[in-house]
Amino acid sequence: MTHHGTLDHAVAELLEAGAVLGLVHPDGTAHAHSWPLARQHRIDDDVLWLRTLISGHRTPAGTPVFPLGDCLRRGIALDSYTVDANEIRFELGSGQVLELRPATSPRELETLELWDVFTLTVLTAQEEDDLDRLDADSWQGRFI
Amino acid sequence: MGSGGQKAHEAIAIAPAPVYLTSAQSEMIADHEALLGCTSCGTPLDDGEGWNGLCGNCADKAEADDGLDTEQTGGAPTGGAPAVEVEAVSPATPASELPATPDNAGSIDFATPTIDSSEVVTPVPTDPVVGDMAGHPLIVGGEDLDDSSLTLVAYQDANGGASREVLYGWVNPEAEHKVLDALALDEEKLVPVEVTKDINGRLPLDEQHQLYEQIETVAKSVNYHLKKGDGIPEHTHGNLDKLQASINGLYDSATDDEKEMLGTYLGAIEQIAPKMTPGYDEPYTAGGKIPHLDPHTVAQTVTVTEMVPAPAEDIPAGLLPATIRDTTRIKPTLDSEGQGSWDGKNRYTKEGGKEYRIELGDGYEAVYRPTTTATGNSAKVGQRGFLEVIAPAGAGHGPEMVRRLGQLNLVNRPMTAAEAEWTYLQRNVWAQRLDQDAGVASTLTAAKTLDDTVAELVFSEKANQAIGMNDTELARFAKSIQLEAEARALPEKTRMVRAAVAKHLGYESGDALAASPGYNPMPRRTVGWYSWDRFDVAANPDATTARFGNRVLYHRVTGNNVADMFRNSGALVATERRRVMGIQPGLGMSEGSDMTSGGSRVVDLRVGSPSSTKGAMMIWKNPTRLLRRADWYAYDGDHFAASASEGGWSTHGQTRDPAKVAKFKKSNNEILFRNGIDLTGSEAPDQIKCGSASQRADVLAVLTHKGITHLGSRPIDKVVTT
Repeated sequence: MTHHGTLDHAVAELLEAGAVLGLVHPDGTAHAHSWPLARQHRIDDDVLWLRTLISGHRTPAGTPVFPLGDCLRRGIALDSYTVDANEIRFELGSGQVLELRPATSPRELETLELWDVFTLTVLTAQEEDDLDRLDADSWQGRFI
Repeated sequence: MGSGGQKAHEAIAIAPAPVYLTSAQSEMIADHEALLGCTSCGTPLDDGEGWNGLCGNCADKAEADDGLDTEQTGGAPTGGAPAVEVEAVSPATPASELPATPDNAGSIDFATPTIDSSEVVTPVPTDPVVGDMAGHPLIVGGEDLDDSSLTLVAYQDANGGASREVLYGWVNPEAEHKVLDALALDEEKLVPVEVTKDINGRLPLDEQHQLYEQIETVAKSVNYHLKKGDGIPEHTHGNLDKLQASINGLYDSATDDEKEMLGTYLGAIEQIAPKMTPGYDEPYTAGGKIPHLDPHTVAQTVTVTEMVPAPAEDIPAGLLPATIRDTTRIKPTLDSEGQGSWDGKNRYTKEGGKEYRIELGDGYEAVYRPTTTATGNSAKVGQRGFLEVIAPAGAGHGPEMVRRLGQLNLVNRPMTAAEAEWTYLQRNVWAQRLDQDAGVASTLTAAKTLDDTVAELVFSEKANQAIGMNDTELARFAKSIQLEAEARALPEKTRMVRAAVAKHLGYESGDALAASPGYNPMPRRTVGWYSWDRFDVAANPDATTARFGNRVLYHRVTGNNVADMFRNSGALVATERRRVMGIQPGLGMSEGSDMTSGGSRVVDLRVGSPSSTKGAMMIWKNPTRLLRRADWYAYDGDHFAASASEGGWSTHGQTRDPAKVAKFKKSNNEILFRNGIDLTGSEAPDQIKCGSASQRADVLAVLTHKGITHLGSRPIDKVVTT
């Protein structure tokens, strides 16, 4: 399926440990924005598909929820990338750079923990499967 | 002048006010007087005429009528068009029959617009379909609202009473100051009060011993390992044993409420335990996964502090009392037919950010999510500018809700045909990037200054009305002049821009462009909104289609919800609009969502030759059906739907050119359409490819139940496939 075997393996390891996708600021000094990532990925057609996580929280009753309408799959073109020991850098056609790196901040780690609780204890197995496949362009079910 | 309802200001002492203009301003106004003609009959003005915008004949007539009614009330002059019989956009209940407006809200006077009903593009309905969650779209004049659009939704009353009507839309950032100027926003005008509320909450015993959290931890671990198929680890068994021991130890001394809670959790343990035994082989996706268990809650009465408006006497005259609160959303319920009900009160809470609840009087209220509140909090990007107007119970309030936008200083009348062409031109300039031409760009700049110039002209006509006004009245007077100026200038602005665009595109004149194939300023109604076409594509759709060859536009959908899309709205609707429609509860949005704000207002299609997947897919084999719209943008790659350079994303590579889209190479390309796509009307897909036969049967059943036999021109069983 893929000739990006090294990348595939590196991405899997990073995601399993908890990872973040960062958009490097145009001045190159820091991340303009970053998103915790669901522990799922897929590579096809020279595109790496990931799912960025947004806005997880617990309801007043304590149930974890995420707006799945905002936690969409994202495709990174694999035209140019470098795999380092603890980081992967993707250079996009637009000239911008994305970095896949381990989650470190409390907010990132809390989001990932909450996502695990949400997917494993709140979603149905079917919904979980829908997300895992990373093949839909929108979420039409519960939790938009 | 038409009836017009309330007058903007009463009993002003009349004395001519000095108006000081520079010689340059005087010349500019004189030029534009001649340009615009008589504001009453449209006759070109001669030298010596027009000091008040009127030709000699109309000035004489106005003088004769002066004793009857001299006050203009914010009408919509047509600038150059012959005077026509005008009639007010009638509220469902005449203003004179409305109950007295309470408190300060009642003291707020706002102009009631007059407009020729034959000129209205979309009349405001008095009988929207009750329960239709997509709502009835309408377009209002001016440029205060995003896309000039509003949606009127009539919910069934949740308690079986009269319907509940809500009008919503997004205020453009440039117009937010108008809304804020109408409100008593000073934090000092809000006072804290303690109120009691009935809420459902967890029992202290549960929270103290973290019983639910222990169940959640065990369930998470068990499901994780069931999914991986690698056996349940020993520590998870230990956690379950510890939880069971905790519950058993608490049971004897527990109250009845607590015993009910403990019993619920013991039931959960009994459900989990068998799945932890070695050899358990129920497939994860076929009953093996531990289902969700909510925390056990009981109804409780608590005291909370809320910020409410200060007593009415503390609110400055002319301002609307407003309360700041955490962002909420209307919380309707959907029945199995996709019909929405609402009780007028129930709302999702803690949606992230802050909003104002505004008293409009007479049972009307508004909710506005500002960019920045008086307390420095913001609504989240995708929600900023969102405005709801909520009517008292009952039907037929649509026109009155539109009229009450005037209380918020917003243009409060339906869009006229002249304005539709202005909007159409603006959309086409954006879509075709026509402003990259220097001539078009300079004309657009000149058109903007025309508003200011005409405003000076209008002020010179009406300056005497300002005598004796207090500050608030003066502020409103200035706004009414601005609105009138915009309306007067519009026909000329439209003519200027149309001519510039025509010249750039090689047409002989603006009229020649207007007469050309594909040029149609009237918007098309889709499900819950209107769309304008772009005339370059509409002029020759076959040529655009031919560029794509066998390539299609497509959108992959989560498989099990295709039927719901047709059941609820019949549209592929952008996330933010689905939330406000109440199709699904919106969930809180944190900082992280800001970057995707553009994404929540669009739907994302791709171009190519897609392979089949387990999920469902909508396919447009004729891309022009969608690309004729003037509201899409695209990237040959994933830009996270960035509509503008925000949050660090570059818009480098953004295109609105169908020819470039046809040549996109990346499979992660994105073509982003505002609001959504009407799946059962003129934008219907050529194929709805379902992931399974049962999905297909569900979709066909829903369409048949709704009486839909064809999508596009083809029978539904040919369009819906596996």
